[in-house]
Order: sequence, then structure tokens, then C-alpha cells
Amino acid sequence: MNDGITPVLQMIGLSKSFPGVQALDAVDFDVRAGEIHALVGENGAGKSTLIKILGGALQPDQGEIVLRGEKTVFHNPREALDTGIATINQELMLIPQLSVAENILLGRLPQGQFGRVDWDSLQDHAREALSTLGVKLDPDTLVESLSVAQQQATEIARALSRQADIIIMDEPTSALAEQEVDHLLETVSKLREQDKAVIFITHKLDEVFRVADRITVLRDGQKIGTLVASDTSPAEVVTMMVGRSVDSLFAKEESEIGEPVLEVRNLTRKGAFYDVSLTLHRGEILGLAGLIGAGRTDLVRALFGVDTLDSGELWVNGKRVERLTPERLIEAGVGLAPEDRKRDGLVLGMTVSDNLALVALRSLTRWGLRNRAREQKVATEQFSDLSIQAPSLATEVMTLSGGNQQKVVIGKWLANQPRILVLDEPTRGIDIGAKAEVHAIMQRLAKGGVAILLVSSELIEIMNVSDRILVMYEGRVTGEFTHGEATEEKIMASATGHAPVAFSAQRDGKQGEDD
Amino acid sequence: MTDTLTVRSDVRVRRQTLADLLRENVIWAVLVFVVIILSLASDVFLTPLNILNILRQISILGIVAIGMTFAMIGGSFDLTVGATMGLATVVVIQLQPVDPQSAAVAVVGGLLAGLLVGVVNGVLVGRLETNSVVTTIGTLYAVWGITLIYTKARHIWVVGMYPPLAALGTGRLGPFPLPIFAFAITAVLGHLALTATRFGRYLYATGGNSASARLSGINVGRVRLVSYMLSGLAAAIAGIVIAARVQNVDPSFGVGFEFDVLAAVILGGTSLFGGRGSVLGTVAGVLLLGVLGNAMTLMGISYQFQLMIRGIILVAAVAANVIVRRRRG
Repeated sequence: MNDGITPVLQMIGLSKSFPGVQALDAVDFDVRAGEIHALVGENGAGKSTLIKILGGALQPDQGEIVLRGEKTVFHNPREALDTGIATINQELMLIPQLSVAENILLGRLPQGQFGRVDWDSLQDHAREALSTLGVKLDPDTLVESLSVAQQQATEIARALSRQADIIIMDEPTSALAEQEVDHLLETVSKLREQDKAVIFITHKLDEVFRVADRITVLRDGQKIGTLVASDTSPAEVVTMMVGRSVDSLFAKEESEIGEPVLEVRNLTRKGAFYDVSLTLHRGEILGLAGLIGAGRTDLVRALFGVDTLDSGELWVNGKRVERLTPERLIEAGVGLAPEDRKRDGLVLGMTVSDNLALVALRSLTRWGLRNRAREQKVATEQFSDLSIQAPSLATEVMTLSGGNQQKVVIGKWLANQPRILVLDEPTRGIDIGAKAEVHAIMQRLAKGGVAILLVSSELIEIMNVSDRILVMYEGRVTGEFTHGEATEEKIMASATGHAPVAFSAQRDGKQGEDD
Repeated sequence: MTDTLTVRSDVRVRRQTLADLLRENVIWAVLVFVVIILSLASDVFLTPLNILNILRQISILGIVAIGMTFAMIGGSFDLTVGATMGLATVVVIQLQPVDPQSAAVAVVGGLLAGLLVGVVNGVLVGRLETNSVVTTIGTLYAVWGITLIYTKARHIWVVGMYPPLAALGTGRLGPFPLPIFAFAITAVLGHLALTATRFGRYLYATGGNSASARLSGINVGRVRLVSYMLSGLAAAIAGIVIAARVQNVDPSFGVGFEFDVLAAVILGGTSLFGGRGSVLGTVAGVLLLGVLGNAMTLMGISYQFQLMIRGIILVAAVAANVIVRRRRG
């Protein structure tokens, strides 16, 4: 059977429609044992629908699934799991308070006498699954103390211990720092050696080309084509994904940089960041680079008054803002589009227009009374300026795609006409097209004089968009580069604590003075 | 039905219509259905006298439920409302409102008592972020205790209540008892506060996602504090109407009433988790409970069985609430 050419799994002519959307239109897809098959496409291209059908969470309107030569129908996720198909989602399904071993064998804990857990057998099983993957992890460690990549490895080990031979990974690297990505991709390659069939979904093409054997591109519910990775190029794949050439995606436009508008002096929040100073100018895009956990998100949350500071000062337009709260910063003209848009950025059960008007409401109301015509006007402006794709302003934001939700978050700040906008990972988990739009919006704002502080874990993005880049490592600023100076090597050196000696010495000297 | 108006070629703005409101409040359909069934089953049910009787009986429940709707939309429970209403009733009667001055003092005293309870709950839940269920149960007992201390645990009454105040409970406008108007006015004001004010939007945002609301510059603690004050205020208004109507009160009056109120609010479609709900829905929930209670009495169902059925209705309402939430995904 496993000659490497006969697919273990074939999907033939799959169609699925939702009210108003043809999510999948007669799509063929197959995956072979010992193969990593990347599935790429913009959000809304149909990837999620395809894997949901494969995982048994959705039933197709038409078409069939052929598993190991037999026509198969999955009525629910349980059935798919039982036939050896495991899906590893973006949001991990682990219980943080339990150990690695317990998570790997969750729901199938080996039992000894009197229904007690057989801990020895549990350890053995877990160890076996981890060593198959080549991952060095102590099965007794609590999951909450692991890095995200290690957690993902745990989840993959769980799939292996369930004897899954088809493993679907949905955006596994979206929450990972660059080094962790390497570890994960190594793990994925190990799966190929184990003769597993892997379906790998990602937005990041460099990862696709590092691990995939074949690449299938979806667009608007249709299969555009399947390519052999070694015979194609990222440019070709991108063109297939977006249906147009993307030369203009990363063109940095110059904007006029003016006077300082935001000054942060010696900010410290113990355990998160120490003695951070930075200055942001009118019309400038200042990138804040670093690995996940370097303290960047903590910093922007604290300077927006969400988390408390231990010490330091914040000046906006030459005036010191004391006792920071989001309210005061908004009054001072600052906005923050947070890292986790669903958790912190949107009220998912409210409509697009209510979300768009939420921040501006203070200026749109008089004596506390709403003026709906003005709210609609403001919401409509952002809706069309940002070309948000939604059936109407009255749609609940929870039904929108990630890219459009991000636009709503940005739009609700723009509706309030901020002078300073902090964007924390604004393009995480959104597709290439939407990403390019977000970049274009940032450039347009900068040209209009808005100062932007951009936190991003994607080096390419930060290097292309920023006028200036600050790098953080373990809660401290360890590097500063202009757009022209910055290279991936320099930023990574600072981000991993290997900054040039001269720079470190200079900073240490400065700290000495301050203390 | 749904009118769309085109602002720009690519943007459609849908106005919320009555049809939308009804669609969101399936409870109105249930209410109409129950009323039709009962009208067919009983000759007495759909008579003007009985309808007016139901409306008068539900007025108190309705006023308190509208207050609780605010707390619930903001994402917090207020289980103190029954005790708060009892306290306000007791305060009004204890202050012996027999002339204009004492009546004014009594009414203001009742309202202040309700607001004060709201402030205590609001500071604890809104500012300190304590769990709202446990906090308001604790406050319930504290308020009940205060009421008993204040009355020395004795039944109290007022003889010769100032007539205009008494009229609030016993008077009529045409055929309609005045408490119905108190309910109607509270409902209209409550509806406007939720839909036409900035506070209303902030309340929905706070209940829908307090983290996002906070990052949008909304003082979430203050919004919740105000929602508790409104809830306490509504309970106090209900207490004053009761005092005006019966002019005597048992010191434990009101305790236990919070569960009827909760049932009405939940039946009305207000989410247990905050962010969703409406005065219109609550009014329907109140009417449904009133109609069912009236029907049970007309059918001669004993108190014990009514108690059991009310419990079942509350649990069924919670189950329906969870099912609706799950279907929304």
C-alpha cells in the first residue's frame, strides 16, 4: 500500500456552501504517506472548511472522501479521530495544569487496580511518543511551564500515541517566535520519516518551502493547483494565491517625520521590562522587534495604562500623562490595537458599526445621548475606507474573517482620529492580501502625520514598514537601527542578546549614570 | 420588512426594525401562544378585569426586573434586589408618611436606601471585581439583617398615609391601576437608557467583553457601579409602590423575590454572561410569568405546586438561555 504514490487519503469533488458563500467548489485534494502537503490560500479561500470536513466537524454537500482506498463518511470529529486523522488546531487543546504525559494520554489514561491511574505505564507511553518525535521533554513537566513550540510538540505526540497516520496542522507556527518555528519544522519533518501523511496549513510561505513536498493552492473555494515544491517558487505560489502579482506588497514609502509626539522615559514593570526609553515622532513608523516574551506586549499594554508601571514617565505632545489609564491616553490622542484582537480588541457579539463607533462614542454623544446618524456616518467612513468585507454594518463581528476583524479594530481607533497609534501584531494570523492592506493603511496614516508604534514578530514586516527599529531582549532595549541599517542578522543578534559590544557598553554606561 | 438605505454603493446600513427586535425576542411569540391557549381554555382569563388584575400584579416584578436587566447586561448578577425592595418598603412605612413633609422624606429615604445598596454592590463587584453571585447573596443577607434590626423584626404599618402617596399604590387612571403606569414609565426610561445613551452602549460592551471595553477607554468598573445603582433604584421604586399600596409590611418582605425577577429577566432573553438583553425582552418575560401565575391561580393549583412550577420555569429559562448561546456559536 505505502508505495509513496498511492494517496492514503483522497478528497474528490468536495463542495460545501454556507448561506451566501460557496466555501468549497468541487475541490480535489490528496495526501500520501510520508509526505508533507502544504495547503495555502488567503483567509476565506476554503482551507478551514476543507480541514473541518476532513476532521469530521462539517459534512460536505457533494463529493467524497476516500481513505485507504475505501469511501468514508465522517459524521463527527470522533469518527475521524478513530480512523487515524488527527487535527492540531491553532488554539491548542491542552490542559495547562496537567503534565505532558497526562496530556498525551488524556482520555485514555492507563488504569491499574481499583481504577487507579497506572503512572508507570503512563510514563512509558508518553516517553515512547515523545522519543518517536525526537523531542526531549520530561513527561512530568506541567504543560503550563512549556514554551508554545513544546506545547505543540506535546500535542503532536498525543496524535502519534493515538496511532494517527494523517496529521492536519492548522497554522501551527502562528504563535511561535522564529527560533521555535525551527524546532517545530524539524518535528514536522520527523513525521515524514515516520511515514505519516501531514497536511500543513500556514500563511508563511518560507515555512512551506522549508518542509513541504507538495503545495496545493486554494482561492475563493476553488483549487487553483497542486505544485511540487521543488519545481516552483514563492513568487509563483503568491501569484496563484492572490490572483495578481504582488511586487508592490512591501514597498516602503517615505513620509515626513516631524517633532516628537510620544516620549517614554525609563519605564519599568518588574518581571516584564526594565528602564525602557523611546521617542516616537510625528509621521514615523517605529518598529519594536524581538522574540515572543521579550516584553514588547507588556510594554505597550503598560504605556496604554492597561497594566500598572513600577516606575517611569510618559509624555505625549510635550505634556506628561500621569496615572495612566486607557481613558486618559485616548484623550491624549493615543490608540492601541492589541495583540489578541478577539480577547482584547473587539466585542464579538456587537455589530460592526457598534464596534467601529465604540471609541469615538465619547465625541459622538452629547449629554450622554447617542446621535445614531453621526455614529453611522463615522462607521460607514471606516467601513469603506478600510474596505471591510462584511455583508453589512449590522453584521456581528464574530462572523468576520481574521483580516476583516483586524480592520475593524484599526477602524475603531481611526474613527477617533488618533495622533499616535500602537499596533501590536496587527497582521498575525491574517492572509497576505489583508496584510498588504494593513501595511498600506499604516503608510497612509504615517503620511497623514500619525505616529505609529508597531510591534511585530515578523522580521520581514518590521524591516519593510518601519522608519526606525528598536529591538527588545528580556525586557530591555538592546538595539536601535534605522530603516537603512537594519538587517535580519543585526536584529536577530540584538533580539537574542548577542548585540554588538559597543552598543551594550554604551547602554550599560547609561544605566550606571541613572542608578 | 427590513428597510435598507444605501449610503454608498458598497455599504449597506441596516436599520434595526421592530421585526428585528421581535426576531431577537422569541419570548413574545411564546407569550402570544400561551395567551391564546389560556383564552381558549378558560372563560375568565381574557376578561378586562382579569387582564387588569394581571397587569397590576406584574408591575412590581416588572419594575425590579428592568433594573436587574441592567446589571445582567453588564455581565453581573444582582440577587440583592428582593431584599433591597423589602428595605425600601420598610423605610417608607417606618418613616410614617402621613403629611407632605414626611411623605417626601419617606420617598427620598426609600430611594436612597436602594441607591446605597446599589453603590455597595457596585463598588464590590465593579471596582474590586468580586464574584457577583456570591457578593450579592452576601449583600442580600446583610440588607435583610439591617431591615430586621430597623423594624426590631416586627410587622410595621402606617395609619392615615398621605393620600397622594397612597394613590401611587391604590389609585387608578380611568380603569388602569397606577402601578401599571409606574411599570410602563420605568420600561420606557429603561429602554431609552439602553438604546439611546452612551452609557447603554458602554454597558453592552462591558458585558460583551470587558477586556475590550477597558482597552476602548471605557471605565468598566464605573459602568458596572452605575448598573447596580440603577438596579437598586428600580428595586426601591418597586418598594415604594408596594408601601403605598399595602401600607403595612412584614420585615422579611421581598426576600426570595429575586428568583422570580431572575426568571423573568432570563426568560426575556438577557444573557447570563452579559452583553445581550433588552427591556422589551424583559417585559415579555415578566408578562409571561404573570400570565402563567394567574392561570395557575385560576385553575386552583395549590401554592406548593406553584412553587415547584416556578422553580421549573427558572431552570427551563436558564437551559433555553444556554441553548441559544450555543447555537450562536
